[in-house]
Amino acid sequence: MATVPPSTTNGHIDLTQKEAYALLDREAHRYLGMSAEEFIDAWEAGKFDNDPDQSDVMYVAMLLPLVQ
Amino acid sequence: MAGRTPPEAVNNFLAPLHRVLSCVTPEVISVGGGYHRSDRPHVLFFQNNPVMLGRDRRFALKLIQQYRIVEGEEERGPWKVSTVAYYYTLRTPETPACPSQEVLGYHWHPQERNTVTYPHLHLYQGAGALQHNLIKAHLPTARIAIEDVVRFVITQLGVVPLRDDWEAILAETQDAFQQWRTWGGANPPRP
Repeated sequence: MATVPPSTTNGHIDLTQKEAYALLDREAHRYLGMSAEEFIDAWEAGKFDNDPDQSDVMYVAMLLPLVQ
Repeated sequence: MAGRTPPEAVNNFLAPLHRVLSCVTPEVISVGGGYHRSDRPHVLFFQNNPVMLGRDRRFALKLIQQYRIVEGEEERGPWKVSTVAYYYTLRTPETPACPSQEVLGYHWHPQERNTVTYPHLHLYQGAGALQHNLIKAHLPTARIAIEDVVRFVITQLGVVPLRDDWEAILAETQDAFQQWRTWGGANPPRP
């Protein structure tokens, strides 16, 4: 995963779709112990609805648009 | 921030954000291809969340913003970036003596699967001993700009900034933000 900003941008990094998915997968494993696919399935099935604002859950959920 | 094209609007939105965050971290924001109009929001974040803050590195920040590209109104256009959610959470770093703990979080995520659609503050275990009912509470706040968070960590938590001109940068970018934003206070428009 690139961490050096491209010289032609305003100092930010543009992720490819593949990199974005890999990042979501990494963070889902790191904070929730599941893959991105498992998290997406569980999220959409409402399995976190009893406490969706639990910090780690909300953090990963807010990354979902990266892959949608 | 506005632009003549969607990509220009996004770059004009990201540039001041980068300047603000450079006051406390050398890390740069990542964007997942969000330069076009879309029904789904786009995301910007730190790949290495949480990032250590300041020269002293006593706190770390997890940052995500979601945004949309919209048509601006008259002088705000033709294209504008609108923030539609944010997640700014402060943590203490992991040390040999103590695991990393969340301290507080300023959140606004009206689209997600919960009923809390207003900007709010969380207090976590790292903030100290809390009443049990505060652990899950959503304390209402006004809309929080990233400048508010950066100024808070420097002036209230003693984070040592990375650059001496941090006050001028925050004042400049926040003035511009307040000129361009479409809402403030604690009552955001319905998603």
